[in-house]
Amino acid sequence: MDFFKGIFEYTFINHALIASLFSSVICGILGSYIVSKRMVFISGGITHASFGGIGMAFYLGLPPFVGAAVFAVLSAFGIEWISKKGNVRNDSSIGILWSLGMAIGIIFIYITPGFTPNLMSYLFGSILTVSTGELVFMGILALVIALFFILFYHPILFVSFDENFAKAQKAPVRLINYSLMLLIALGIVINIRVAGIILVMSMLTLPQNTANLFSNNFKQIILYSILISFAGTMAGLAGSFWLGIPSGASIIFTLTLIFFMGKVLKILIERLKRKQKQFLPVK
Amino acid sequence: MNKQLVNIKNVTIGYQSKKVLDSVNMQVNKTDFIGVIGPNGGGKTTLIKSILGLIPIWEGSIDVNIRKSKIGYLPQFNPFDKAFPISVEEVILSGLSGKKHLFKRVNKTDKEHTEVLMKQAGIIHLRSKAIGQLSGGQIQRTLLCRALISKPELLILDEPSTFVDSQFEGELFEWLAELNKQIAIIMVSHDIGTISSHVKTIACVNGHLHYHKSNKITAEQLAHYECPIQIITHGEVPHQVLATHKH
Repeated sequence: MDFFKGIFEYTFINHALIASLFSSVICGILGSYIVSKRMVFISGGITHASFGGIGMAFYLGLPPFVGAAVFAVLSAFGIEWISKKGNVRNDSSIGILWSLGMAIGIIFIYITPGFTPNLMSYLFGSILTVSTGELVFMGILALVIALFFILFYHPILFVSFDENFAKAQKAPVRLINYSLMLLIALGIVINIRVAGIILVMSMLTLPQNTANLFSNNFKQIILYSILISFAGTMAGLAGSFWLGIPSGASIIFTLTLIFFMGKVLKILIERLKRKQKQFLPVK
Repeated sequence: MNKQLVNIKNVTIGYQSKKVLDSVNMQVNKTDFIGVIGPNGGGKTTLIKSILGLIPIWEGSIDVNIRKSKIGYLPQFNPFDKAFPISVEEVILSGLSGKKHLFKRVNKTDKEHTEVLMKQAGIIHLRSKAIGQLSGGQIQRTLLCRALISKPELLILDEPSTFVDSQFEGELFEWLAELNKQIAIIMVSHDIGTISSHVKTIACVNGHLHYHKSNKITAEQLAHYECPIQIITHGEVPHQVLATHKH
């Protein structure tokens, strides 16, 4: 009961609740796109490359969030550009940006004089320390992403399904791809505050794959992902509160648990269906 | 007057440093039905992609006198992801993703048109199925509907009978003949036997392009252009010798 009392008593839990709602909307929508388009490792690359921006911001005395955003957007566009224009393999270019970003981050944090505060919270996330300013940004981003997907649902679906065909039809393929890369980069950076660099990828893949177990419809996958994401984040937060473990890891663990429960449920449903078929009356 | 839709003038195309098509000339007019034949690697698909503006041309020019969104296209391979969460109906509607439709939402007329096409192709019962759950033939029918949804003035089919069962192949050619009263069709195929009884004219592509204002194929012709001759099913090959080409 302490957790539920805490919801109303402490602002930090209040903030955490609102943050997880916004984060569920952002990750639910973007993750469905990322999973459907098999871009999980692209988003992993963007996430890790943004660590370079965090390190540089520490060194220059800027807000780490700004540095991360700049690096994330640049690497997102870089990956999109290289995969179309360059002669480098797509997965290789992701690997290069991934480790280069981390290396830049480590170098700058090393040469920054004195102690670097909150470094761990960027690596592993800390939803309980989200500030009001960050909450406002999260809310705006969640709204922009939701509107973008509602307004351009069909073009997004069509371009990501068959890019070559869309190009042959003179659909604005590049505009749509780059806009989505921009939203993904910003979405990842803001969610680093919630789950941390190392764990944010699972927020973009676990709820979506759970949803995909029960639906093959893009719209439904988005809606289910948001719900699963929110439920998982809530349960994970409660777990971290009760057990005294880090919130980011607790959330990811809960989301994984939900995925496996979904998988078992699906197997059971399929068995039941097969049995029902067996007992159908013979004509 | 027969309206000219596409005019290909002295076009040379290649990939990296390898030349695939060499000074090709071809015109596509309204109500044409051109069968494009030739060996694998001869440049059939390259020719089609250049008309669609998907690959850059080295020399020459291609004038397309209709809007790009008025070209219906059925690609040869299915390069898309079979696990992608998209339904048959949505795939067909994606044939409308031309420029003007970015802010224009899918409306009732579009949906009704989709229904008509699905009925004609015999896939209406699959409308809300995910594309990955379909057989090869059903996917091909879906993609043909996608090529037709924009009410094209030119229909380009790259190996349309791959995966299609023989029953639908018959229906397909009847459907194409009906469409051909209004629109031009370019059909790529290496199945010469099937193609020659349905098309009006034949273009043989093998680095160069040879155009015949008839749908008769002779064995001499095929040997001359190094075209594949393994699939001729007409029984007696009509002996019609055309004038030799100067390369």
